[in-house]
Amino acid sequence: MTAVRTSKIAVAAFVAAIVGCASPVPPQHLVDARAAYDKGRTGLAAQLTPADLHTAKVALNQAEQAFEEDAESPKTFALSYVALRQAQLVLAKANLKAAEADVERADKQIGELREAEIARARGELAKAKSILAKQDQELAVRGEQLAAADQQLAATSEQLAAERAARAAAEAREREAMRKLAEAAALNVKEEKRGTVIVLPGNVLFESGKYELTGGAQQKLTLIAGTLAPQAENHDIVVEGHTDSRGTREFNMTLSQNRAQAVMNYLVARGVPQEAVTSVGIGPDRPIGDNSNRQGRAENRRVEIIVKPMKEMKKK
Amino acid sequence: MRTTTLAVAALLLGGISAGCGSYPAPSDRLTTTQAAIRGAAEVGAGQVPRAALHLKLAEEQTEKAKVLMQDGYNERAELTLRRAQADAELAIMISKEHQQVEAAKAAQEKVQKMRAELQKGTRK
Repeated sequence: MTAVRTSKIAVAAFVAAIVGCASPVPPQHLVDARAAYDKGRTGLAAQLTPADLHTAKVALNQAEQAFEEDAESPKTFALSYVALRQAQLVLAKANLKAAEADVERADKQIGELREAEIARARGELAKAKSILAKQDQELAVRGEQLAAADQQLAATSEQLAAERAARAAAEAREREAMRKLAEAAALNVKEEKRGTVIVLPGNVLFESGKYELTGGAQQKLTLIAGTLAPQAENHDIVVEGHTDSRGTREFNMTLSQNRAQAVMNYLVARGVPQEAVTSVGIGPDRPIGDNSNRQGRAENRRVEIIVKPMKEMKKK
Repeated sequence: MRTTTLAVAALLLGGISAGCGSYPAPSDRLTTTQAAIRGAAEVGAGQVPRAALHLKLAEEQTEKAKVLMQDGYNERAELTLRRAQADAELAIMISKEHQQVEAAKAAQEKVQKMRAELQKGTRK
């Protein structure tokens, strides 16, 4: 650079020698300083670093002044150099300021993006939460349904147990009532597959060939009606008339039918519900004794009151 | 011509009556310049090529000024130090500028990255 400068000065001196009083040539640093300063003045530096631009201007003015005083003095050279560096510094500082503004802007954007990201994450969280809440609700409803079903089941089995117990108690009560009846009325009471069977000998109830109840019969049947009336709710009652094999079958059928009906009517009159009782004449068809002798025939002439096994309890 | 300039400068700067080379030694400016050189090194001017060039010029000119001072050329030393100081200060500014520009680039890259990620997240 020094060499270049020297040659320039030489050229300048040469030119000056020829032209005579031509204006002196400014050192390259001064030329560069003017250009750099102009660049700063017309560029961003004017807004971003006005104070430094002013400092550069002062330095440039000093260099210009030194140049006017003595174009080739070391002072002119040094001040031009300084003016150039100051102008370059202004340009660098303007870039620095612009970059600072860029960082600030970017930081702001980063902040906004972060908030947007947070908002997005919040939105997703809320969505997930609402899905979970919905599932929870569904589970709760299902749980309640299950609990209700459990409760119903428990209630049902409790009810069943209670009914079973009630039935057992009723059966026990009825057995006891029958036992007492048998004892009190001196009756023949048998437990059979078809139910509890009260066997009433024909001669106790009716006179021979007739079907009007005797006084003794009425007494016994009153006792029986008293025992059966409360059981009629749970039991069907069948009154069967039976005869021995003497006489015509038709006669016996009619007689047994009439006798069964007489007993039934009496029981109904004494409080046994009509709908619980039916009567049937069997005639000689189901003997329990030997029709060839007197004793057997007496056994066959009878009325049976069958208290059928307990009906299935009605569901409430 | 140099002598004249020296005399004028001496009169202007120091108001020294003698005017025969008794220009004061620019010790203060030397201190200031050396501080600026240290400052430039501290802000990493050595690692930024453009700044390193000016740091080197500042160091060389400072060394030259020291020699001039030793030889009694105080005024020339002063002028040389002014150049050295200007170079050192420019080296500092260029370093800072470089760092800030890098920071701006990094911040802008981060913005781009976040923007892309946000878009990806929103598209999900």
